[in-house]
Order: sequence, then structure tokens, then C-alpha cells
Amino acid sequence: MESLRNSQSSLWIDRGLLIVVAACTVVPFLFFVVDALFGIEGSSLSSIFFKLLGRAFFFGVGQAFASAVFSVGLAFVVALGLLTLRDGARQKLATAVRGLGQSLFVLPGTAIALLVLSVSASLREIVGAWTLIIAAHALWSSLFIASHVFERLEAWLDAEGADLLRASQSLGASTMASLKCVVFPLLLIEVRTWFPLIFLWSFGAFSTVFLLGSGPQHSTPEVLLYYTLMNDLDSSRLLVLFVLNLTIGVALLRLFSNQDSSLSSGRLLLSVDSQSAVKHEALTLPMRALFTALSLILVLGAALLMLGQVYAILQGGLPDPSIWKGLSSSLSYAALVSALSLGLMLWTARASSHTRKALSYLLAVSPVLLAASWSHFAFMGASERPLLLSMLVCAAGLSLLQVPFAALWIERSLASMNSDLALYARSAGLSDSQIYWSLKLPYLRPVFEKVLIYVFCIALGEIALASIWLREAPPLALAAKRLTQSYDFQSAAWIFVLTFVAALLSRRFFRAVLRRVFV
Amino acid sequence: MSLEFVSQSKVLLPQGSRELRVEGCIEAGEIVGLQGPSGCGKSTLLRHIAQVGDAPFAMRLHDTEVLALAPNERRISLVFQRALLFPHLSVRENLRFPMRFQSPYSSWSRELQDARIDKHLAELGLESLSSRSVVTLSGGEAMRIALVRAMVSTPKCLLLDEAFAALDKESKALVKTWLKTRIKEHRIPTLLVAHVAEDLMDFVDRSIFWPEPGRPLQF
Repeated sequence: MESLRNSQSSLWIDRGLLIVVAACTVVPFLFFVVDALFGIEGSSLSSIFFKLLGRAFFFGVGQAFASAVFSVGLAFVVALGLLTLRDGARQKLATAVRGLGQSLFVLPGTAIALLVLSVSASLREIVGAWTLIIAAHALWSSLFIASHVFERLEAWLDAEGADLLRASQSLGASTMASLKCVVFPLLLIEVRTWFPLIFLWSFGAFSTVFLLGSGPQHSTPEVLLYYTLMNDLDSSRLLVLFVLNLTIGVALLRLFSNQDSSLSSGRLLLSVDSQSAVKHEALTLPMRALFTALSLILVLGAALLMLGQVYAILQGGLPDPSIWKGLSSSLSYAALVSALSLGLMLWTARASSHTRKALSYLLAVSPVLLAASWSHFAFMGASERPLLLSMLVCAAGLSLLQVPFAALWIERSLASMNSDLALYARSAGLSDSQIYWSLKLPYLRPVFEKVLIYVFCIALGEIALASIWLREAPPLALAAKRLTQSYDFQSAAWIFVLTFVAALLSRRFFRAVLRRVFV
Repeated sequence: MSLEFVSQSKVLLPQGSRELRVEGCIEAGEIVGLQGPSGCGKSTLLRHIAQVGDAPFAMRLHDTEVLALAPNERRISLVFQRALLFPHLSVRENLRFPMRFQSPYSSWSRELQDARIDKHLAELGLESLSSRSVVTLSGGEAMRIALVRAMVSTPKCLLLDEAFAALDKESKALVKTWLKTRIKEHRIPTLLVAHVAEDLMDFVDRSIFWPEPGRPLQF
């Protein structure tokens, strides 16, 4: 009786929270439609606008496709390489590289933005704006995507991948034949799942295109929407852009769900244990080395470009007081985003499989919808808002943007968790709530750790939503953008140092806290 | 026609890095059972004999240095504790897998390979599984398919790591009889690692006990 009551109450909680998340996505959209239909602004769907839109659409699809291919391709190639190694080799070196690689991977977007901004003008002249954007976004997304693929691959190796490879070799397959006949098809299935989501994520990407495009001539529909919003607040244009984004989002979601259903029917291979242990470190060495190398290039590149300013920091004493304010704003923003993301993940882990699936679909569309609809919502709302409210709304938007990957990961990890464990725990007298806290959450801890560190760092470097919502209390990344544009590189260098330190500390903080809480 | 070891190699066991010293011979068609405490390196030994361990492992198989052979010429079949069927392939495709690489089967037509697979499946009453996806198989069914996969290309040496543990009593008796008949018929030197003495009964010709990790093993 009690368990029935528990399951009914959790069903209501699930439904309630699902409605809240749906409302967060849909309500701004409704404001949008109402304003377009009944707003007082006149329509101005000119041929120039449609020309820009057509260009933005093709560019958006192109850069998303290039990013997805590059990201997945990179992860794929490195994965093939690392699977050729045998375990047991060079473990100490692997441990060192793992520590270094992970530390550097938490490099916040600020550093990358500073690096890119420092060289973007000259690079744009050499290679052209679109090539620059595609290359920069492909690099950035590959760091992000490859880390997800890598984590799953590592867990797969730990679960049974290494033994499958041994099995194929003991049956006469050479290393190359094993890669071709076993690893390649397995990875291909994984790639088919990830590709639409990466495409969706890249299509909705804002910061790279916004920073490097330098105007509506070189933008995606998402960024064009922003310019339309900022320049003339023309609802008809916004609606056209929004419907375009929505159509693409839904089409991709459909593709994604088709892939997902084919995989869930029993063909999913890399659905693996999230508790990747350390015993296959040597196998993952090349991937970590690659991350380390890429991260190092970014850090050293940024550091070299700002060497003079970093030296000036050492000579010049403390930074301007406005930077401390920016740091406070950044940390509050990042902490709020992390807290909301944690809440979303806790709920995702707790929800039933159906709710989790519904949530992951809803969240999968959010990268395309949210920046546009939320920013419009901001402009539709009162111009004078309390800072806390602005920050909360902004943080909610960013959390919803970042959580889809986590939701997918949690879904996969729980699907691969041995269901007999929960049955055993129930037979031992544990309630659903106890199973959740003492079994599921410790099992999912590695996922939570990675995602929280990631969203914290993303929030430290985020400028798109912040530039709309937090103009009164700009976080460091936004301040860095303004300072770089006004050639105040010394202050920008301070920001680089502060955000980098904050990102490194966040890694230690989240790991320590989660290991203490999820025991 | 036998499997001969005079080998020592540094291996990574759960307790740390150890010297693995093995000496002896398994005659053609002989089935040797290996028992020992958990963690003493039995499974690791099998992986090394199959040449899929951390380091090369010197041994002679039918008077040929195994290290000098290419993977598809070795034909040492290892059946793991888990079935380890390839989840992206059907049962039939899994069984065809070794024949794609090992001679003379690799030069056979698809029809001939399928006929051989059907014959093996029929001997164990598993023909209804041939077109199934391996992820739909039960643990016992998967293990029996893994054993058929190991035998379908008639290995020169067979290594079984707790291969009967997942089988029920009835299947176990059937599989053991089938396997033993084929091992004797084709004179395949076989090494079986088992925790349960019952798995060795009515199957092995002799048993060896490996008392502790690190101690030399003599066949």
C-alpha cells in the first residue's frame, strides 16, 4: 500500500516537473506568437531579410554539419587508434596525463573566446569569415563532443569492449580486422545516435558565430534572430526565424527519436556502465593525450598572445574593482546554473523511463528554441527587473541548454544498469527512495561530476544569454568581450587568469562534494 | 601434435605484476583441467596462451612457434567466462566470424560456411536460434553459441574459461558430450579452467591444481 502511494506521489511529481520544464520552453514561445500576431510593430519582411535568412540557413546547416562530422570524426579516429593498444601498459604515465588532461579540459569558454577574439580579425582576412567560424566551432564542439564520446568509450572498454576485442582476435581476426569488423560497426551505431544531437547543438550554437561573424552577413538563423531582436524588434521577422528554427529542431528530433528507437530495440552496443574504473587507463591514453594537446594549444596560444599583459599583471598589482564585481557575478551565475543543472539531473535520474525519455526529447529541442524564445521573452517582459530574477531566468535558460547531453547519458547509464541490482535492493527491504539515493545516484556520480564541472565552466565563459539578461551586472566573460573590443588586454588577461583558476577549483570542489554526498 | 610450453612472462594480475612461469605439454586430443584459488592467474594464463594478453607468450603448437604465426593462422579458440558474442551481429553472423579469417574456411563460399554452421547448430539443437539477434538470447543460449563459435572452425587448440558455468544441468551434460566427442575426433589439445569440480567430471583426462599466484605451473 505504502509503495503504491509512493509511486503515485512520484508520478505526480514527475508530471508536475515535466509541466514546469515544458512551460519554461513553451511560455516564451506563446509570448512570441502573440506579439507577432497582435503586436503593434509593423511587418517588414523585405527581400533583403529573406536574402539574409537564406544565407543564414545554408550557413547554419553547413557549419552544424561540418562541426558534427569533424567532432564525431575526430572522436572516431582517435577511438580506433586507442583501441589498438593493449591494457596494462604505461599506467603511471596515463594517470599523469589523465590528471593534466582533465584539468585543462575545464578551461572555460572565456579563454577560448579571448584567444579567438585576439586573432580573429587577421584570421578573418586570411581565410574568410565563414571558414573561420566553421573551423572555430568545429574545434570547440569537438572538444565538447569528443569528451562525451570518450567517456562512453572508456566505460565501454571497462565493461566489455576490451574483452570483445580479445574475443575477435582469438577467433583469428588481426588488429585491423577487429577494428573493421567489430569496433567500426559498434562505433558507427554510437555515432548514429549522437550525430543528430550534435547537429542540433551546433545549429543552435550562438557564441562562436556571434563573436566571429561580426554582423548579420555572417550568421546562422539563431544569430540573425538575435540581430533582428536587438535592432528593430520586428515580430514578423522573429516569427519567421523562430518557425524555421522550430521546424529544423522538430525534424532533427524526429530523426533522433527514430535512431533512438532502433537502438533501444536491442541494437545499442555502447550502453555502458558509468562507473568507468581506472584499470583501462592505458587504453585511453591517446585520447587523453589528444585532449591535453588541444587544451594546451588553446591555453598556451591564449597565454602567448597575452604574455605582455600577464607580465603586466604581475607588475601592476590588483585588477580594477569592476573585475571583482564581474567575478562575483560570474561565480553567482555559474553556481546558479550548476545548482539548476544538478536539480534537473537529479530529477532525470529519479523519473520513470517514459518521463526521462519525454524530458530528453523536450530538452533536445531546447538548444534551437531557447536562446531565441527566452531572449524574446526578456524583451517582452518588464525592462526593469531585479538582478536575482534576471540571473535566475538566465541560469535556467543555460541549464536547459546544457542538460540534454546529460539526460541522454543518464538514460543510457540507467538502461545499462543491471536491473537485478534494484530487485535485490528491494528484496533487501529498501524503499524506492532509498534505492534512488543509495544505489542509483552513486552509480551515476561520474556522470554528475563531469556534467557539473562542464556546466560550471560553460557558465563562466557564456556570453550569449548574459549579454541579453545580465547587462547591468556583466559576468567576467561578457566583460572580457567588451574589454577586448576596447583593446584593454591587461584587464582581459586578469579575467583569463581568474576564470581559469575558478574552473580548476570547480573541478576539485564538485568531485569532493559529490563523492561525499553520493556514497 | 600437441601444445608445449616452456614460457615465462611478466603479467599483470589483480595482486600486481607477477612472473608467470609455465612448463609442460598438453597432448593432441587431451583435455586438461586447471583449478586454483581466485586471482591466481588462471584466466590470465588462458589469455596469454591465446596470445591476447599483455605480453607475447612463447609456446609451440603442433611443432610450430605460435609467435611466428599470424592471428588467422594460430587457430587457438578461447571461450571466455562471458559469452562475448558480438552484439551488432546475428547468431549466424557471429558463427561465421572465425570462418571469415581462418583458412581453409575463409576461401569457402557463403553457402558452404552456412551449411557448416547449420550442422553445428543442429548437433546441439540450436538451429532455431540462427537468425536471432544475440542480444535476445538468454545467458545459457549465448554461452552455447559461444562454444559453437569456438568449434565451428575446428581450432588447433581449445581454451575454456569457466565455459560451463552459465549452463543448466541438462545443457551442460549435452554440451560436454558434444564437445568431448569433437575434441577427441579432431585431436585438439584442450585446457579447461573451472572452479567447480563437477565441471571437470566426465570431461577432463587429468587435472592440475595451481596453489598460488606466482608459483611455476607444470603440466
